[in-house]
Amino acid sequence: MNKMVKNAAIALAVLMAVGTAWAAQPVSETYPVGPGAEIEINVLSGTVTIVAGRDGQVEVTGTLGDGVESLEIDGDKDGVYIEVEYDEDYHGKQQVDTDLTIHVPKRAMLSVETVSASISVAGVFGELDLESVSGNVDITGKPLALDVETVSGNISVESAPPEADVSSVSGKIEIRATGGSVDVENVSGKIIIYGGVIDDGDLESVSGDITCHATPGPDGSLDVETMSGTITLTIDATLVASFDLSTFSGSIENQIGPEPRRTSKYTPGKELFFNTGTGGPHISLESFSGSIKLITR
Amino acid sequence: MNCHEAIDRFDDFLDGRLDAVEVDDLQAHLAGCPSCAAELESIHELRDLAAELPRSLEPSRNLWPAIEARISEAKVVRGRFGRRALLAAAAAVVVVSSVVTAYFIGRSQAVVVTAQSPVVAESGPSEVLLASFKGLGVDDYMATRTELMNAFDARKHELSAETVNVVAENLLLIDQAMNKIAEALGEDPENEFLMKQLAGAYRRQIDLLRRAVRMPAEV
Repeated sequence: MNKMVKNAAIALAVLMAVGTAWAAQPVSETYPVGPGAEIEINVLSGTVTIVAGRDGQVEVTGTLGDGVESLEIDGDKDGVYIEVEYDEDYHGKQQVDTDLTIHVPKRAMLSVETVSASISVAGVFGELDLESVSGNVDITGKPLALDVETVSGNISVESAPPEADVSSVSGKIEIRATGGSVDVENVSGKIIIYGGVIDDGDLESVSGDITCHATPGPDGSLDVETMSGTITLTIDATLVASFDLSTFSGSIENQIGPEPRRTSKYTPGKELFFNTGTGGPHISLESFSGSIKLITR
Repeated sequence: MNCHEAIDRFDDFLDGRLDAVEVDDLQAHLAGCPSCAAELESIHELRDLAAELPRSLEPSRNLWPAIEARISEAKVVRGRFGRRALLAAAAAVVVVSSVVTAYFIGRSQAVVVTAQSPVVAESGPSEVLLASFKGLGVDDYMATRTELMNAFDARKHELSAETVNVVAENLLLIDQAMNKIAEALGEDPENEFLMKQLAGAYRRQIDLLRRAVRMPAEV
């Protein structure tokens, strides 16, 4: 065998070996469950897409990527546990991700944990408890209750339920519409609420900006707090509410009430309390050094 | 049962949610796996530590009346011990607090924070800061904070560098804010707005440390 042929043979062998390593394992499993069953899912990396499907069964399709040993599905009609088992001896680079689509009964309760895998939930009406470290979390449809937590993953919620608890450390949190009580916490990531109604709201960050365009409910309360982020609250000019705005060293821009007053001659801090009528929600905006903007639509 | 399966069951095991067969399986694995046994022990210790942390800071928004009451008590304290001594004591607390944070953040930033501390020492808050500690229901704020810092430090190897930096930078930000508020309180000790700001800063700092200690492992 001359040198060129030998090299080609080696290259072919290498390609074949790589090809084997890249081969995804297709998966297609179904498991019978009750309509309100609790579905627990545990995946390290890749993507997990959970979609409301037929009642009476959980269906798992997709591919298992590199380093995966098996897919474990276990449980009974009240609950199913789905876990991607990894080969502890696999130390290769992941060329093929694990991508799973899981159809669940629409009233199922979901508990999902991932490390870097993104989580997408569509049309599931049960309670959702979702946790990821760096994966993004995207929820469409309106679940019964929602508890989402990430470290650096972004969180997007289309329609928050009456009880929603959402938190991150550095991921961006976006809620298209709030639906009652909402508790949102971030450290450096942004919080953006585009609309909806807030009956009881707590929005808090350390350095992340907080923007809220939702309408405070008639007898509710909305507390927004940050250390150095900018708070922007947009409201209807006709909203009847009591307002309590304060900052240690930030600025206050207010389009509906009186001018803020200094809190102390020793600091640039400003406070502002006012009502736009009798009754209505109580709105409190508080920062340390971040600006506060109360804007009318 | 392999190590991955065993580790997955640690939380349920510690919460008493495993059935007898699962407990037997896990214990059989632990008996032959020193690595998993050590991991379980460290989780157990971390949980114990977290459980011992004072819970009284959690509803801090409702603590303002107690803080307010303490301000009145502080006036008596000032009369007994003298304003200057209390100023020095309070300033020392803030200085130590900043240095502790800076230690965990990194040497280069520690220099910055330590350099800022004398400003606080000259015009520190005194009785109001001490009153706020009591009002927050924490007798030994520094011990609690140091304990949480130690727990966070012990977990750093499980977190990504980005996450550790985010936590450290935001702890420093709160530290700096507390120093500025304390400085203003030194000038205006009766100012309720400043007291509320200080109480809020304490709460956010402890909350952030708690979250950092309980975050899921990243690496």
